[in-house]
Amino acid sequence: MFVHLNTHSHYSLGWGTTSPEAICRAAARMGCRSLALTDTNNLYGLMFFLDYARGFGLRPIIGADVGLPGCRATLLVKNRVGYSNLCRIITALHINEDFDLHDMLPERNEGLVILTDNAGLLRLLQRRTSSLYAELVAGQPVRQLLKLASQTGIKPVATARAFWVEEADYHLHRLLRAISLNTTLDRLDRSELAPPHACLADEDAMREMFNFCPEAVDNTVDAAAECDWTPDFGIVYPEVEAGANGRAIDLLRKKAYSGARRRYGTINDDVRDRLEHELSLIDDKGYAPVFLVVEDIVGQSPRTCGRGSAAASIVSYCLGITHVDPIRHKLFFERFINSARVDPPDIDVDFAWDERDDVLDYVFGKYGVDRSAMVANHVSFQKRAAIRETAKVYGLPDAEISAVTGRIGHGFSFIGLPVEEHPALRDHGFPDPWPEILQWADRLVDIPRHVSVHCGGVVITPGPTTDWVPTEVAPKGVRIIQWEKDQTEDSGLVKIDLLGNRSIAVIRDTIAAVKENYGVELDYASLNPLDDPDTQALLARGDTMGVFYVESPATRLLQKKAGVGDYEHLVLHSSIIRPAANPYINDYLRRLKGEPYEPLHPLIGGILDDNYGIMVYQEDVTRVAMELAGFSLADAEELRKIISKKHKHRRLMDLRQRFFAGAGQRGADEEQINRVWDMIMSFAGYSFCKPHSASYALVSFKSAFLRAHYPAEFMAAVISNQGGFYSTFAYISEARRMKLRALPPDINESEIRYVGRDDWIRVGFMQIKGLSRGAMEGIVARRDRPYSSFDDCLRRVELSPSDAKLLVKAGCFDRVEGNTALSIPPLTANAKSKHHHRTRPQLLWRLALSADRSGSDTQGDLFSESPPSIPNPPEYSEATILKLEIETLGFLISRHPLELYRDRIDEKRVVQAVDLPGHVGEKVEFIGWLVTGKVVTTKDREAMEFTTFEDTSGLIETVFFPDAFKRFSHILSYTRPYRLFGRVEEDFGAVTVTVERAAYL
Amino acid sequence: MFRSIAFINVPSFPFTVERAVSRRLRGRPLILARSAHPRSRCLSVSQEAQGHGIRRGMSIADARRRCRDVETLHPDPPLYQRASSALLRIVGEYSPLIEPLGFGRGFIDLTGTERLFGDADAVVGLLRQRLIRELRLPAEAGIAVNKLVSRVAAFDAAPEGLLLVERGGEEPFLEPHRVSVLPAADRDVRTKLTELNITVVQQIKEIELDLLLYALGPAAFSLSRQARGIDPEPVIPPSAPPRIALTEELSEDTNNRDQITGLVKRMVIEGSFRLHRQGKSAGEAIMNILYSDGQTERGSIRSRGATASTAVWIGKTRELLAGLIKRRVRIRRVELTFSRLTAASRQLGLWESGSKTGQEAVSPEKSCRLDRVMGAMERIQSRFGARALSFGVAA
Repeated sequence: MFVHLNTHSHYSLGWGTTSPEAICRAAARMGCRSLALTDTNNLYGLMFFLDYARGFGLRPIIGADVGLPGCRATLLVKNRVGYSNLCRIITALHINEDFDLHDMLPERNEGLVILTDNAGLLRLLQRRTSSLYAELVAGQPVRQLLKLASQTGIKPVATARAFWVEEADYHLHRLLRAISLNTTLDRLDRSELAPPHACLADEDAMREMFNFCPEAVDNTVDAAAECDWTPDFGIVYPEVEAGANGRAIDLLRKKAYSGARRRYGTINDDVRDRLEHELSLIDDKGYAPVFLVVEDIVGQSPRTCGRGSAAASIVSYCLGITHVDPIRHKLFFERFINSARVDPPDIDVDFAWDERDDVLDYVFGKYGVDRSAMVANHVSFQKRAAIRETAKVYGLPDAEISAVTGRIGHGFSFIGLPVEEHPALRDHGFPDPWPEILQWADRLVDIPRHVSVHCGGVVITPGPTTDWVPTEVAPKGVRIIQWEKDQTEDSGLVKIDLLGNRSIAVIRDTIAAVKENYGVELDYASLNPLDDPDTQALLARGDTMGVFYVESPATRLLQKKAGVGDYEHLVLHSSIIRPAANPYINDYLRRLKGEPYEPLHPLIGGILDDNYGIMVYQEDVTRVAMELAGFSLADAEELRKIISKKHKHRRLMDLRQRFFAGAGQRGADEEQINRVWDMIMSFAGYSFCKPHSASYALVSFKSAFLRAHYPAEFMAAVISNQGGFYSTFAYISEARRMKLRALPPDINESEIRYVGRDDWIRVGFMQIKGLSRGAMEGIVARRDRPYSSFDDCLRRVELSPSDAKLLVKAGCFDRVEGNTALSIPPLTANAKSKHHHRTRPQLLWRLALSADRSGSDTQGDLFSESPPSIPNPPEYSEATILKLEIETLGFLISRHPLELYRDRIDEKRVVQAVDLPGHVGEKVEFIGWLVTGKVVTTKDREAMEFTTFEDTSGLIETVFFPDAFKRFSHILSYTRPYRLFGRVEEDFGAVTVTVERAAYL
Repeated sequence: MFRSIAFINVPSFPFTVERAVSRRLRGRPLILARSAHPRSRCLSVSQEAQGHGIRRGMSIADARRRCRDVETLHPDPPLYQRASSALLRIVGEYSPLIEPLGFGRGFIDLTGTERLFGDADAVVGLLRQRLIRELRLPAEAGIAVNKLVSRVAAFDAAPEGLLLVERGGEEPFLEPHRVSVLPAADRDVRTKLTELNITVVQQIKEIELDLLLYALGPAAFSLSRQARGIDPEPVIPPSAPPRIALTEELSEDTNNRDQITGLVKRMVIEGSFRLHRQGKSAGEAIMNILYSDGQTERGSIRSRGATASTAVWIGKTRELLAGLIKRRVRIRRVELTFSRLTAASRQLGLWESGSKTGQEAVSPEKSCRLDRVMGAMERIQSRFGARALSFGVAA
């Protein structure tokens, strides 16, 4: 018998090539009964490993290959104490700069089996632990080690120190090393590589390699036998102070009732019954501390959006964690917590994106950095990065690499085509060494490359976090645990998601601007405009660019097709819009318009009546599985949860079999079952529960209300907070379509951020590329009175020459200097120029002279109003001014870019966006500027694209079906106008164009 | 005496020469590239090929996608050298002061030749006729009192092919030209001028030098002078540089260090062969590396004493190369120049061992043996070419 005690998966970043799943499969195939996974200095893949090992019938041994160059040891876990010690040792290695195994292991060897090839460590530990082995690593020199072992009586043990499973993976290992070390394959030094035979060998091969010391192979069994512990933490709740002798549930009850009085005024029977029901379940499950902790965190900000299944809870609502009344909107608590639930509850809260870090600081401050940490994100190679990194190793220049990666887009993996066949690259040749690069890049995909911080997951533990999981410090300086969200959840740690949300900041900023501009007081928390007719009409029209969560072209189109803007339908639309549900959206729309329909199956009955007979929310999966296939609540919940988890595929197949069997036994025929199962599978990728959608729809309503009533303030806030679905240029175009004037930056009128009022929005200094933060703040801080001239500004604000130059080039001084190049009148009288007209080149002359003389003795007259004989060059040409707009702002502000092509557009008989509804069924030509596009695949795995173009009159939604996509996708870009030819279609009142031909204008 | 300078330019020299040799190429879209490999870059593009959107620096694969009929020519430096020498031979009949600027273009100082050959424009006209008649090379020419103006005039000469800027007419001639015609307007200066909306030469003239200095720094001096058509630079005949320069363009760019080391080794052997043949020793090797993305790296290394020893320079250049290649990007071209040339001495140092005279780590006996080997190699190479016999390259 032999046990592999030193095996590395691809979680040994930059070294290992193989996933824990593939390792377990290979080990099982070799006939192994136990297997240790010992990644280098981490437990990144521990939970996955435990899952796969058990799945393949292996006894998992937990461990890690720990150390720094020159001194390493394989540490295997014998028991709970050993596990904590391992976590602490790994944490210390990542956090302490002076980490040394010689210091750590004498203190923290309890519960660990230690294998090492380091003579110093062996001598140091030989009297301190009996679980010590001299590790003979395959392919490494062992003579001295064997001699030491025989002298000291320490047992030798043989390991493969495997980094891959197939011998052919050695090249992949070299590629990973070259990427890691930022070098090329032939420059890799032997010491930077694992030996060529660091492969998961079978027992015969191991015995052959260690034929000089067979007992070393036999001893692996003894070492493995010592390690018979795997974690079962249950649910790890945070600790809260509930007062003297108080229980957390009592405190929660008190707070919930107090909140209920605030929310409902009087507590009626419905509210009381619901509260009692929930509190009883929460008590049974022991979840009270989680609620109290989240309530405490949420209290740090007046603007939050509690979402996820927690929004179904009246306790959450009363505590102020969520803001949708679950009774009024029929949200079922059982989606959140039920008797069958064995995993921790899922509470997500959104904060304004720029306030979130303060909230995190509060959490770490209150609960302690040793008891709280953020969840990690394991960043794996995706197709683009894999191609880029491989091509770099092969020495291709950046421009050549970008010509490929820039074309395939971030969502390329989704299409699933080989790169060479991507339509956008149809004109691109792939001469050597590209075929080799693409082949190896494919192998890199999904291999983890580094660890970063999850967007918001936080864990709070009752004791030091390192009792459960090693921690480290992410590059951005935050303490993180070593697991990503799925493994965190599998381990039992309660993950609280504290996420940054830009739309909450948009709403906050709009409310503040409305108060400043018009004196109207709006309050985020009490703003509840569900019945506002203007808001509902706006949503029904799909005029929702900038509106939270419903601004994507697909959602806008759905809104338009549905033609309804009430809250209940918006909740439904927010959920049904998921990628895999396209076929059901048309069913929904027909039924919404009155088409009769039958339930999916009589057994399902009316449980989907609110959704027009369609499974829309995650909880519909649970309910349908229970009703149709007779699943228990626990199994149905498990099915719901694992649909989109890649690592649970085997379990999903088990459940599928049971689903078909169960439904068959209940009388459903195969076609019906298949139909229902397909609908269930449409929840893969991402999907939402109703409480989550309801929470988001409330934020959507708030932001739609602000767009409907305060469009200038709203659009300014959308652009200022950035991160929306569209580019700033697209929002500016939308603002123009909303009859708002887009005004250029101005030294007296602009703020750091965009500002809007009445019928205009003004570009903020933030938009000027390269302008320093100090300059922006200085200009605004010293503007107690308007700047009267360029010189006045230079006198009052300490501007670097480069900042001053940027301000001039962006036209910030045009109006104050009486320069009417852009012909936009001033907004306020005091901004009018009292000076002679000075052009931008003249100001730059002025700047050149002052910058050069600022250090000289002549500083006294540096800013005199009439410096001697400044040259008088003419104003820039119109073309130069437009070029400067693009250079300084990133887009044209003075006009729509299509205006530059006005002559050529007028020559052609083209249809404008606004006139398209009058041409339904006809073939038309229009000229448009690409705004956004989304590539998807058809059922036949062919790529196609939904694109949005705009002209000066409106947006045009278009479709490039596979044929057109193949022919024209390679010419599409965001930098020029296109002539588009196609047929105008109308679907449920929404007009789209099916593009048949595209060409450059 | 007033100067009379002509600038002669044969446009698209490589293509013009190739077409002079082969009628078949006339009117066809052509590109010049080091190899036929699809990733090889266009070094030069004919006007016909430019019409198809092909530009210098594009890969051959890209060029072919734009124009299937485009014909790829490989540079033929000996042919261009012969054509250029023939051109200079004819030009040299009219003036001893010629400053070639690469192949097919250069300045001719015709000052004081009027009595012999007549006016400068008549001489240049005659020259152009002879170039067409004898070499089938059409040339454009400009004549003025200095190099700056004559060169600008030559590029303005189409369609007549000859433009004479009369003495005193330099300033008005240059005024409407874009500032980029002035050699002092390098990239930095051009950027600053564009910001100040100074686009043509006339505008520079109108600005006081003091102010120009504030805006542009010391570059203002030469810019201001050139804007007035003043260029005192003399026509300088070429002088043979005391150096041996070798250039290797890889048929396919690579970042394989062994391959590059092997290439450099071969270049050293060839350089060493030339040194031996000229009876010279080199004191320094200068290496220039051009990466695929256009970036370059340059370095040099000296030996303790001048030497022509292949073994010494192989060791030195390996050291130089190791320090020079820091990026992962592939290498397209390597240039190696042996400089600080002195007459070779076969005599061993009286007091110093070999290691102090540049023959590091090579004993006197071994050095003599190597010299004998080199001597034998030289004889073979002289007869059959530098690459007929070379040292093997070990990884």
